[in-house]
Amino acid sequence: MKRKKSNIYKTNLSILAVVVMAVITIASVFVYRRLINNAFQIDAAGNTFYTYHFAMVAEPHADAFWNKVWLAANEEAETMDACVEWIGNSLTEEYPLTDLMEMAIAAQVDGILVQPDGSDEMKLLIQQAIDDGIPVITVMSDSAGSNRQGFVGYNSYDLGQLYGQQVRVALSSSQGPGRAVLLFSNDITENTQNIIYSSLMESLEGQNVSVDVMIIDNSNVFSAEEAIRELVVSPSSDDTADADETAPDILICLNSTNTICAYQAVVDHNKVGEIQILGYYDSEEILTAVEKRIIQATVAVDANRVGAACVDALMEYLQFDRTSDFTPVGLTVVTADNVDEYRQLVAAEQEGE
Amino acid sequence: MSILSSMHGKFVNLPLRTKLVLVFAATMIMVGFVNVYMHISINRVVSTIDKVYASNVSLNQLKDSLDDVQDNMFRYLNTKSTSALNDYYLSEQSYSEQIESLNSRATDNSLKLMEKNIRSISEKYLELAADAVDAKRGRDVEQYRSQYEDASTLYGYLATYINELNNARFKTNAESYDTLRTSLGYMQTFSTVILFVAITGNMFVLLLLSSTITKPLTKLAKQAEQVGQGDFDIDFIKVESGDEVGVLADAFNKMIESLNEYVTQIKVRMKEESRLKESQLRMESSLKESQLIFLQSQINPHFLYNTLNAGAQLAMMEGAEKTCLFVENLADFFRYSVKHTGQTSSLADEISQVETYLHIINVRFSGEIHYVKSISGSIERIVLPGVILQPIVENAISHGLRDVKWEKKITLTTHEEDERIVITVTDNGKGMTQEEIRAVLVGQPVSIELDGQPHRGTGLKNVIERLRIFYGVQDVFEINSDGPGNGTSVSIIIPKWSEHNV
Repeated sequence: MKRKKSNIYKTNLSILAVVVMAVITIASVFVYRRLINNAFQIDAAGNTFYTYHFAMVAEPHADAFWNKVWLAANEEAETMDACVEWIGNSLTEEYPLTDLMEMAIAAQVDGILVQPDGSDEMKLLIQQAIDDGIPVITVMSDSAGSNRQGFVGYNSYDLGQLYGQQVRVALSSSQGPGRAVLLFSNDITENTQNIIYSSLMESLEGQNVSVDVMIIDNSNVFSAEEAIRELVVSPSSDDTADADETAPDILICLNSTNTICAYQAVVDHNKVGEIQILGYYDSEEILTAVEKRIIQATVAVDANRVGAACVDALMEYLQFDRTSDFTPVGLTVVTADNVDEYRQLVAAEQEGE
Repeated sequence: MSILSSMHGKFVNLPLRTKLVLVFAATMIMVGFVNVYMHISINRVVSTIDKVYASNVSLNQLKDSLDDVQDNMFRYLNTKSTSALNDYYLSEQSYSEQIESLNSRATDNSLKLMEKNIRSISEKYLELAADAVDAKRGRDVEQYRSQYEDASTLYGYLATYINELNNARFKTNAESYDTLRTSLGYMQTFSTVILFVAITGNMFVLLLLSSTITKPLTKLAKQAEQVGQGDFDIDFIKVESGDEVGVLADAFNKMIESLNEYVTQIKVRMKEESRLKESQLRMESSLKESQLIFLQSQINPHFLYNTLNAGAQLAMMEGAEKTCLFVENLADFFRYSVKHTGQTSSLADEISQVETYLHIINVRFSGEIHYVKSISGSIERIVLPGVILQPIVENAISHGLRDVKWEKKITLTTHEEDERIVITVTDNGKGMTQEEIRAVLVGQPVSIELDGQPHRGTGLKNVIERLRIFYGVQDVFEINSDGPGNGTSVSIIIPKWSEHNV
C-alpha cells in the first residue's frame, strides 16, 4: 500500500514539477516583459493626439513660476482636447521673446499665450498673429493698445499696494530712514512697472523711506544675478554719503529668479537681517527662506490658476469667438507667520485636483 | 488539487512513450517559447532603434533639401539664372515631398510637436520663397528683398528646429542604446534562469518517472523468478499506471492466476481419478466376494457331507463295501477341501488328502494309477497352506499321465535336508519340455483340455504364489523333467526354520 502511495505521489510530483516549471517560465516572461517595458521607453510617452495646439511664449527658461504655469495650462488643455507647447523650451538656442513669437506664428498654432515685454515689435507681432487668425492671450503683463483677445494676470495696482504694506511692516522694526530698491526686469512692461511703482509710492506716502527703481537687463543671460549681487555687497548707508551707491535696506523683487538671487546674495554676504527681501512667487526654496525669515514676505500668484485661466480663455475664444478682456488672478502675501497655513492650503489644493 | 488528481489520472494511463514525449515536449516547448519570445523582443528593440536611426538619416536629408531650397532661391534672386530657377523648383518639390512625412497633429510628444512645427514653418517658408521668386520675376525689388529676409528668418528657425530634433533623436538613440544593453542583460539572466529551471526540472522529472517505470519492472522480475521456481503463491503486483508496465503487470497477474487455476484443476482431477480407481477395485473385490458367496451357497457342504454319509450308510446296509468306502472317501475329500481352503494344515493331513483323492480317481479310472509314498521325518510338525499337494497331484494326473499307455505311477516322497524339507510328487507320464516348465514357472496359462472342457492351468500358479507368500521366500517350487516320455517331478521346498513349522 505504501508502494502504491509513493508511486502516485511520484507521478503527482512530476506533474507538479512540470507545472511549476511552466509557472516559473510564464512568470519570468512577465517579469522580463515588465522590465523591458520599463527600460524601453522610446517614444512611449506622447502618442496622444489633440485637436488644438497652443503656444506659450514666455522668456525665462528656468523660471519656476512659468514652468508651473505651463504645466497647469497643459493639464487644463488636455481636458479640452488641446496641448500647450512652450515655444523654444525644447530648443537649446536662446531666442529673444519676439523671435519666439515669430516662430509661434510661423508654426501656425491655434492660439498663443504670451507675456509681452512691452516693446512695439511685440505689439506688431501680436497684431500679425491676430491677422493670421491666431487668437492671443497676454499673461501676467498686458500689451496695451494691441488687439489681444484677453489678458490673464494680477492687478498691478494691487501688487504695488501689497508691497507697500510689507515695506511698512519692515520699516516698523527698524529705526531711521530706510532705502528700498524696486527690482524690475524687462519681462514686465513699462506700463505695468509704472503702475506698480505709483501704487507702491502711494502706499508709502508719509513714510520715511526712499524708493529706487532698478531695471535689470535680462537680455544678457545671468545679468540679473550679477546686478543683484553687486547691489547687495555695496557698502551700507552709514559709511558713505552717496545714497545711490549704498546697499538698500529693503529689496523688492518682482520675479522668482530675482527673489532667489537676492536671497542667495544676502546669505552669501552675511547680510541677513540687514537687508530685508520682499519676494515674489511661492517655490519651495522661497517658502523655506520665508520660514527662516531671510525673506520677509513673498507675494504668491497662483500659477496653476494662471495656466488654467489662459487655456480657458483661449478655448472660450475658439468656441464662442469672444472671451473676457481681463481675467484677474488673486495675490497672496506669505510671511513667516502664515507660511505653514499656506503650505497646507496648497497641499489641499493639489490633493483636490 | 482536484485538477492535479484528474490530470494525474489521465497521465497515469498514458503509454510510456506518450508519457515521456509529453513531459519532454512540455519542457522543450517552454524553452522554445522562451527562445521565440526572446527573438521577438530583440527584434522589437532593434527595429525601434533602426527606426530612430532612419529618422536621423531622413532628418539630415530634410536639412540638405532645405539648404538646397535656400541656396537656389538665393542664387536665383541674386543672378536670375534659369538654371538656378530650375534647381529651385526641383529642390522645392523635393522638400515639399519630404515634409509631407512629418507629423501634422498636435500631441504631447515634444519630438512630434517639433515635427509639426517644422512642417508648419516649412509651409510658410515655401510660401514666402515662392512669393519672393514671383516678385523677382515681376522685378518688384522692394517686395522680393523683404520676402527673402522673412524667408531667411524662417530658414534660420527651421535649421534650428531640424538640428534640435536631430539632437533630441540622437539623445533618444543613446538612451535606447542603454536600454538595449539593459535588455540584453535581462535577456541573459532570463534565459539562464529558464534554462536552469528546464534542466533541473527535466532531471527531476526523469528521475521520478524512471523510478516509477523501473521499480514495478524489478518487482515483476522478482515475482517471475519466484514463479519460475514453482511458487505460485505470490502477491499480485499492484501497478496503477495504465502504461506498458501496467499492461505487463496485468498480463503477469493474469498468467499467475490462470496457472494457479490450472494447477488446482489438475490436482482435483488426479484426486478424482484415484478415487475412481479405488472404488473400481473395491467393486471388483466385492463382486468376487459375492461370486464366492454365491458359489459357496450353491454347494452347501454340510448337505453334501450328510448326503454322502447317508449314501455310505445305505451302501453298508446293502453290503456294498466298496461303494461305501468310495462314498466315505468322497465325503472326506470335500470336507477337507472346504475346511482347509484359505487355512493352514499339516503335511500329514495334506498327504492323507492326496491319498483320498487318489482313491476317488482310481475308482474313476479303475485303479490304474499306482501310488507309492516314501515319508521320512515327522510330517506332523510341518505346516503348509491348505490344499497344496492335492492340486499338484491333480496336475500330474491330468497333464502327465493323461493318454499314457504304460502303467501309471505317482510317487510321493518327503525328505529332510540340512536346511530344508523337500516334498516331491513324481509321475512317469509324458514329461515336459524346458519351454513348458519355464511357462508354468512364470505363471503363463497353459491351455489344455480337461474332461472335454477348456481348462485354464491356473492351479499351479496359485499354488506357487500361496507358497511364496506363506514362507516369504521365492525358492519354494521346482519342476524337473528329463524330456518327453520320461515323466515329471514337482518339488515343494520348505525352509526348515520357517516360523510356521512347529
